Amino acid sequence: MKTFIYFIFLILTICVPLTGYTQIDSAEYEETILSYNVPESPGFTVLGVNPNKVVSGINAKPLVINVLGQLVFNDKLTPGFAMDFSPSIFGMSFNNRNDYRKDDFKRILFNSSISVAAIKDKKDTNSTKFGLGFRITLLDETDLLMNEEACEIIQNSLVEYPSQDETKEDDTQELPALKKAYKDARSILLSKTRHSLSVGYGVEGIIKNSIINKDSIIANSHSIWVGGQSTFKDFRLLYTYQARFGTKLTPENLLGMAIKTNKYGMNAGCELLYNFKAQKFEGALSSEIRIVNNLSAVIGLSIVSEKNIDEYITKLNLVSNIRYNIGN
Amino acid sequence: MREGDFIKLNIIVMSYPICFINSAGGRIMVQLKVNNALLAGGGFIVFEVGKPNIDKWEMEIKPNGKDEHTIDTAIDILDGKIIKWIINVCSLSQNITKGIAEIKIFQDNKNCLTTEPLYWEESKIPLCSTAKPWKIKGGLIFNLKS
Repeated sequence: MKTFIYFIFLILTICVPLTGYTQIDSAEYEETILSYNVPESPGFTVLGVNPNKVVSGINAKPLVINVLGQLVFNDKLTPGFAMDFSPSIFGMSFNNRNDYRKDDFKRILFNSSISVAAIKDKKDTNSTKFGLGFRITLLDETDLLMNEEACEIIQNSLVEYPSQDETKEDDTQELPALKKAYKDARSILLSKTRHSLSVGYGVEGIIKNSIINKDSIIANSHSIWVGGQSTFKDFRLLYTYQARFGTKLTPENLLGMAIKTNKYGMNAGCELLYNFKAQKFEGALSSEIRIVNNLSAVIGLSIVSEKNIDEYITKLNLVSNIRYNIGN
Repeated sequence: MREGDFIKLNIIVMSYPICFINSAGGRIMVQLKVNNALLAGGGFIVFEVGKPNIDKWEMEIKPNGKDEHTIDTAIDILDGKIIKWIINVCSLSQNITKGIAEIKIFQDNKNCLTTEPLYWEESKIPLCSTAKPWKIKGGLIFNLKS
């Protein structure tokens, strides 16, 4: 019964955004949600279940909820959950733009992400696998706040004169000049290639019998990763290195790159990775599609190498992740 | 302006706070401030009800979080005149949603005491990309100290 419910969930996460896709104006989509691409959940990264293996290097969002449905073909369906939050939700603030630009430590902390994730253990269905992750963005040249020219263009458009007679003032909240200015500012920013870089660390383990106490929690492995991104006008090039190690684990290393685009009303891309331990290439196709304003679905179809007794076998993996970006 | 509109406008204007200025003092300086790395721009007019604007100018927040403008109009002319503004504020980061905007009026480096504070706080400041900024409308009346 549970498997059936998970399967329905997986189908819904794929079909609902696909039906909604045709209703979304691609230009509007590009200018709003995808101007704020949501980075991958560090918690899912450490659990190895992110629809995108090649992680991006951009600033974190204040609060993102991820609900995962993973299906490894010829295997069980794995549901999961992750919550990513930035320390900014605890009331951190800046005095002004100078403060944001000059206080590197505070800005990095402000744009960092802490993540808690859990998925059902495939081998022991009574237990839960957990992932705790943390990522910081050391560099994000796509951050408009760091670019004074972009800020000035936007601020120019915010100027609106009052009328002596208030009844003659335009009471609509929308400022069309701001929409154009925002687009112009982003175009100027992306007239040059912009780079960004994030690093992350996480621990993955098991909660035995899904009961939380000090004897039931076992940490299995640690992961570190670096994610870089070069943003061009119409596409992004991403590169990553991920290492996983633990006392009972032969170190695993992954090196990969991806190409993604925000064109055509969705965030779509393909990636290629090399798994050093399996000595095999892995590949994936993924796309993020907005369902409604704050809600999007990420769908990834990948070829992964999984250890089966002594040898690695290649499996087809379908992952869908419903993402609720509360701050968007 | 029709008489009815003139009366209505006078009633609206009379609800504005009053800033007491010194007839023997120097020019009036207007300062616009926002915190939390927010972007803001505003338009200001100075007028007497039913007559053309005496002065107008725009202000945009500098990287230090404020902008200042000195009103050219002589102090004695400002007596009884109204200053009105529209300030639009937005955020460039999803992590920045709270903020404060403030207008201060200075004469000879002294903050003018207004009958109401010119200070606004908001916890859901829109992203600039939405093109729907936080709009602050207001005004005040200059009065010479007796």
